[in-house]
Amino acid sequence: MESIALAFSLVADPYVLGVILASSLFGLFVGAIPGLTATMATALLVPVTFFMPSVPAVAAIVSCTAMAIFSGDIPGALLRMPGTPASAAYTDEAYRMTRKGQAELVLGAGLVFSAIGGLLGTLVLVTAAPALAEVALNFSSFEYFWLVLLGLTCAVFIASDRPLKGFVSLLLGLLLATIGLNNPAAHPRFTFGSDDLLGGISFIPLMVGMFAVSEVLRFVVSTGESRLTLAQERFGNVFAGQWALIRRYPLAIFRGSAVGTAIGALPGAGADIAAWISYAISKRFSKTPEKFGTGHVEGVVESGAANNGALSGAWIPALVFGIPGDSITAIAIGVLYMKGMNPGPAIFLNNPENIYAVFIVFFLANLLMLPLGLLAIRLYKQILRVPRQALMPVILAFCMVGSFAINNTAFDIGVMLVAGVAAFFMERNGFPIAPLILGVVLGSMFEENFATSLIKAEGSWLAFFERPIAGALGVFTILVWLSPFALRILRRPRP
Amino acid sequence: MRLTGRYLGAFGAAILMLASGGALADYPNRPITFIVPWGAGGGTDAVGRMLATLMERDLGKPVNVMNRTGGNGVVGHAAIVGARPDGYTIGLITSEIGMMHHQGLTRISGASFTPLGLVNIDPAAIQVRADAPYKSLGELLAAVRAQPGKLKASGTGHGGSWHLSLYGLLLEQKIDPSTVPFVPSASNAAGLLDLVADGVQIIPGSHPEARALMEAGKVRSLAIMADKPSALFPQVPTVKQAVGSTWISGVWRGVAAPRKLPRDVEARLRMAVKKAYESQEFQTFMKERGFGSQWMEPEAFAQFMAREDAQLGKLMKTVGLAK
Amino acid sequence: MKLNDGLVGLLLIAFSLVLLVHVSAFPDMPGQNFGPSVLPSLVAVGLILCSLVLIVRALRASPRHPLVEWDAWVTSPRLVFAFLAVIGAVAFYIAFSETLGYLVAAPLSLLVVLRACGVRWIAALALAVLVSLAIHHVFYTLLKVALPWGLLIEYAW
Repeated sequence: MESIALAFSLVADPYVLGVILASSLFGLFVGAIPGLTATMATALLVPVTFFMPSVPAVAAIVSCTAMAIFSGDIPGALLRMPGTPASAAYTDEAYRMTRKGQAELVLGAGLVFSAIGGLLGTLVLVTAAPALAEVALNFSSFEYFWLVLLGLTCAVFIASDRPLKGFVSLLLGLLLATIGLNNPAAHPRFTFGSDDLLGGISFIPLMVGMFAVSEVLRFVVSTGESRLTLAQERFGNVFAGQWALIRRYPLAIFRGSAVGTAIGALPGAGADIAAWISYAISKRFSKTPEKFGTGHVEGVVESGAANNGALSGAWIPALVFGIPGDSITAIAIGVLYMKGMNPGPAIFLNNPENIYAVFIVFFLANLLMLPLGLLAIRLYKQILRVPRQALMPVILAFCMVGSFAINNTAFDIGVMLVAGVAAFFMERNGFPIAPLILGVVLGSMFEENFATSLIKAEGSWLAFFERPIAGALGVFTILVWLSPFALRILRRPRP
Repeated sequence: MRLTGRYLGAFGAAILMLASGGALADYPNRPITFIVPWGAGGGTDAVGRMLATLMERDLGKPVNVMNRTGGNGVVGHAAIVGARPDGYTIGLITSEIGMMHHQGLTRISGASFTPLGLVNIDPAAIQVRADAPYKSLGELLAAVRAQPGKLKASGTGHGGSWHLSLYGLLLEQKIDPSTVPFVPSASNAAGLLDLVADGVQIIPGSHPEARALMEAGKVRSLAIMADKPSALFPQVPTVKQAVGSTWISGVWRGVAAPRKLPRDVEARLRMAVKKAYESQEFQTFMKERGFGSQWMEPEAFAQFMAREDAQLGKLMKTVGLAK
Repeated sequence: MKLNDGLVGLLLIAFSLVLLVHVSAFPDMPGQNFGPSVLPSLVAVGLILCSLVLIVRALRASPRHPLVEWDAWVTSPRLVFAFLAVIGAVAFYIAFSETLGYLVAAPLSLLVVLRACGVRWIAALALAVLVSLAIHHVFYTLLKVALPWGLLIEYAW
């Protein structure tokens, strides 16, 4: 109890509060720039934290990432330029809502449910971190193999109005992920002697190209009505519609946060898979699944919550065992060591006030997200007033520089361009692009866990079911695959 | 007289310039790019950012870290080699440079750089589960000999540094490396996870990487492939103490620039790197992170790279990983 | 441009066959039952199966869709030109940003795209320069992204 009081006094220091505010604004700013990621924002902060005491240093990382992950949704919703792979799951849905004039509703939903997901995830982190981390340690390549397969299955649910074309798109994504040297055999595949291809296809330029550049191209060849500025419904208050949403989808919010936190706590999974699986779950259990993909807020609510829940969840293995759940916690672990707060079970025993202070910062950052996010949305939505013929070229310029900035190479702008043209034709021919993105996100993870498992199993397929968690996940995945056929047989009218 | 005066003037000017940091009144006059061939957030990135921050203070111009990832480091290393040798592009090079050209991935090697100083060596160590039946390296090797093929190792990609460290030790101990199947993993952390989840039994890797799980009582380190124990876990014996092996292996990081750097620029950068290395901040940083800080002057660094290159080349050929 | 699904299927099958031939040359991992060709081969087989279904469906469809449906914009030279200009402007930036420098290449390509979108000359010129400078400030100065200087290296800040 004493240490909790001490923790509060550590955070209440004006210097610490100032750091939290400043790094929140920084995270908000970087996240909202298309092409720049939360990881990038965090990496830029690290040299600054070298010269801070431990609590403000960790507070800076925590608040910066929470804000950057949320603000990555803003360009996604307004301009169809997703900031992170995690938000790619619902980018199209959010953008459709913007085009229907519901930009404020969807951004508000993103904000409020990000915060709720983050708060619930933090609650789990505070109360159950050591126990959950022990569970996470039982996951070997077999368990991850099934989990990734489950994630890939989501592609079919996400695009279920045309599952066949969605599946083709998913396969193409998996194929793109095989380019380069980063595969279990370390054999350069499809590189044709190019050093750039050796590094594989960078994810962000691909995503920016597929979503944003294709949209610019569609605009360029469009005529008439669609060229004008976007419709805007008048909204008094961004938060106005949110209370109604909370009352309408309480289960979805809870489910999204829980699934997000749980998947986030698995070091091999993370926010990306969490958001996609949550989106698919949301559609599967929705009363109105037919509305998904037409600009319907339900999926955004659930996967938005999952997204930020996973962010908190990723800290569980990081704090308890020093195992990074994603690239952001990898940076955070480094900062923790730097500041003498060594990750490990002992972090809760030695100087517990420090770790409690970090937890307080978690809550604070997620609460601070509401007013700051509101401000960001207010400012950002002015963009919609800009005539589209001037806005589209500027978006393209940001896409180019953003794609360059990921790995500082013009090659990635090429990836963006090719992806944009390809997506333009794919969408015209009815091939959805979201499954392709999912395929690229999960491709290398799928192959890695598949290869590792096969090598360990020495060719025995039974090994994929022998471990208890793997067996349960495997049976569940197969049931999910079989369910459409089973339903069809059940529903067939009896003669 | 006038001539002498001019000489004196020139001499004075030279002294002044030396005092102010060499004949570099104009270097650097714009930001320097510091290439890190690995992703933002990793250990190499952290070392790079720390060095860049400290060098910036010394050089008086921004030193900006640029992550060029991909191809197991090939892309980033090639970017340093291919940059204009004007001192405005330098970078952190890592031990993979001694392996990639043996694999036929690239032509560049340690000799393609102007070395500016080695800053870190992390020796390989052998990690097993804390509750494993073998309590020492000797017992582990006996178990490998008794049941070839039963114990599996992981901890890096196929043909990665740790893979070679382990196989080098096995060869030196007259054990056929193929009796320890290697399961590739994306990172050492991923391998350690698989170890704790009982998917594999042996993880070669550095102490800083295994530190958290060792401190949590999940993982035990049996021996370290260095000539002295690590500062982080001094109770872990060296392979020499454990089984009498002279095998030494590890990963390292050093600062380098493209070849054909102007003399004065090279001298200025060497000074800046050394000063950054010797600073209190850098030493504290390395100690806190558990990285082994080790200095080598550029000449020694170059010889070290050549030696490593030969050793790795021979090893990779023996185990069939070289092209 | 909308291709008939059957035609797409045929193209995908051809692509998959080339893929299968290409990956069959990949080496195996010594002593292990998994090689780099496994996943690409699985993908190729999956693509062929999907394509067969696409073709069968396209043949059964009635009324049959034409092999190629051209969109309205393809008949407008202006729109075709605009489409190509956007792609060309990005390609120009990729090719020349390193030598010319961001501050030269970016406004030029942005100007082309603005014109392609139908912005008037004066507004396009002003926007191209101002937006390029603003982006440079955000990315280069604030976020330390190494945008190339190219020709202007002497004036770098």
